[in-house]
Amino acid sequence: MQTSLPKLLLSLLLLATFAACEKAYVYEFDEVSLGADSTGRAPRARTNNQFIRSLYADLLARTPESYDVVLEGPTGEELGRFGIDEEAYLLFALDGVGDPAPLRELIAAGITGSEALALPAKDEVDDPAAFIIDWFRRLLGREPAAHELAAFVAEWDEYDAVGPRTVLRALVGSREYQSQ
Amino acid sequence: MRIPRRTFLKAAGVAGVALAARRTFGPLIRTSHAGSTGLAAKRVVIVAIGGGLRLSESLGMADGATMPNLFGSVPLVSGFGPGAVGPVAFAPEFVAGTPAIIRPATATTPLHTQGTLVTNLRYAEGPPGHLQGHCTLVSGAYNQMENRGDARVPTPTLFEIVRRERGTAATDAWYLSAVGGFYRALQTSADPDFGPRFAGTFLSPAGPMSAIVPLVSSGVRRYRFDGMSLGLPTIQDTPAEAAAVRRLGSILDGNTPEYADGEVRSSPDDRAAIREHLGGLYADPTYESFYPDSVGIGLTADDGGIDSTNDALTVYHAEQILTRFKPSVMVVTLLDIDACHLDYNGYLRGQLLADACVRRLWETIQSTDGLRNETALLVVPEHGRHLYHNGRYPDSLGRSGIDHGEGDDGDRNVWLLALGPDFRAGQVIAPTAIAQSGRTSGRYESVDVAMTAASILGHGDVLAAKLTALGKRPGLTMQELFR
Repeated sequence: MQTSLPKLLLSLLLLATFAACEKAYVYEFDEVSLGADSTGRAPRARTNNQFIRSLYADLLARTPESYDVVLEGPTGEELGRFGIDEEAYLLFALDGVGDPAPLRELIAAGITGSEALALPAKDEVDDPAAFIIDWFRRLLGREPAAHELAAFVAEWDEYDAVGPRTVLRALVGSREYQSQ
Repeated sequence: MRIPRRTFLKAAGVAGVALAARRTFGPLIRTSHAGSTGLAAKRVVIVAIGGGLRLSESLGMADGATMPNLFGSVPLVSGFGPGAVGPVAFAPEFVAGTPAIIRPATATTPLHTQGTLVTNLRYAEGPPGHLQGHCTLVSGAYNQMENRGDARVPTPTLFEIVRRERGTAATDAWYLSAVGGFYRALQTSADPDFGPRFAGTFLSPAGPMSAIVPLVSSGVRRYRFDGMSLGLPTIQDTPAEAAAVRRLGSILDGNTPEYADGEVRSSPDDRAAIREHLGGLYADPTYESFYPDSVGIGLTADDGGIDSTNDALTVYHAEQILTRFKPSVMVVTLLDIDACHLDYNGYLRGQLLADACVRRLWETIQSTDGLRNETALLVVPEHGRHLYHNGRYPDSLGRSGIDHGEGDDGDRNVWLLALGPDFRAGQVIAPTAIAQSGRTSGRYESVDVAMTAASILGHGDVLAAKLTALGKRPGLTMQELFR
């Protein structure tokens, strides 16, 4: 069967038109925006107030409190007392620095070293990976990624200074924890 | 029974005072780098006496020698008599009802003889308000800045200019203020060429430089004095642990984008340096690091020791930062004298304390290797106060509070004391033929303080060019100050 020249030309024209239409069609969908690359994904930092309240909730399982600190003599007699409002006082301290990050780290160091939290000593932790996973869940609300867990465990094994307190300090000091 | 480290007991008081202060004020020439200026000074420290200090009490000594270490006891401006004045005239009820001032014996020779005193500086434009006056001193531009902590300086600050031009760390530029509140707004500007990434490091010592942090974070609610000690809580942050936290933190932060909110955020190195400095205070079990009695400036405590004032605490910590970091620029805000709105005698007392603080700061500078003979110190009131008393809380000597803000000559006539290796010594001047397009005062002005500081640091042309581009009248470098 022979194809006439006019038909061939018509077919080629249709094919070219179809191809052109198809190409244009694809490019139309390329214009669909799925979100900004940078600023739109940037985290929003927790305020000092949010940070303090989350720290107390996550580490001490309570809200900040107001109470009297009592000073006693050698035989237990009361020598004096003064009031402390944990949230107001820590906020006052944090508001006294331009970038609160360094002070947040130190407040976290204070709380993680306090008797109220009572973290185990490093040598009392039988399974460092389990400890790390548990605190990732409690503080970041997620499992550690494989590379995170591997890095944390490697640090735990290699350095004496890396233990329960260090892990918690790193987690609450992270941008992830300190973001809303 | 004297409990070791009275500061512990003072902590509640310190925090209370500090919180009260927050409530009060909370609402409230691209050039080559330093060294090529031909000047000996490598850094500039500006002590801005906030709150409004009138010429009549400070240099005029109308109520006695309120700043004897700086100015002696003979009035340095006309209209106040030629002879020496006596001690400060406090009302007897004030003396009886308030803790006594503690300060070192007055220097035999006033500090102004070591430098140049400009007795007729003019805060020529803008509202005589706290943030506007201070903003002028840190930016070299008159302004209408709002009294808000989240406000931004409309033109670049000295902090930003120094850090951008030199490419230096946040610890090269410090702003310490006796109170926080809206003063924190001065750490950076809204100028897109500068801004938060070049901000000065802001500290208001009453909060972070106190026992609050170790006491509260410890959670301890009962202390037993065993006859020797109380076992005061500390925060331990060893270098090894701090380094470990940083390594682990960097793993985590690699998953989270940077903030893009325009807030001041230190680099990891800056953060570590600042944390180490603060951590050193919190690790001291004696609590002496917060404010040792040896400073010798403050108010008599109930047990005979010394309670610091906000100004004394601020100057003490400014000294610690100066000696540790040796920054290129530091601005220190004092504010004890702002008691004057309601307490004229408190205003006089605040001057005595500010006077003792500035002398101590200068002596610390001059006794420290790396600071001595390479630091310029500029002392200047942010503005003055009204020419008239407000009638509130009069004392038995017929004096009452004084406000500021209306812009009369009491508000606008101030002074500048310049100390440092490049300034002429023993010079008291009041130039009256200072010419500049747009300058109607004919005098040196508050905007000239920042320009002089910038010129000393080698960045005067940057400041001048920027202000000119923004339609502001740049200040002048005060040539008469220099040798």
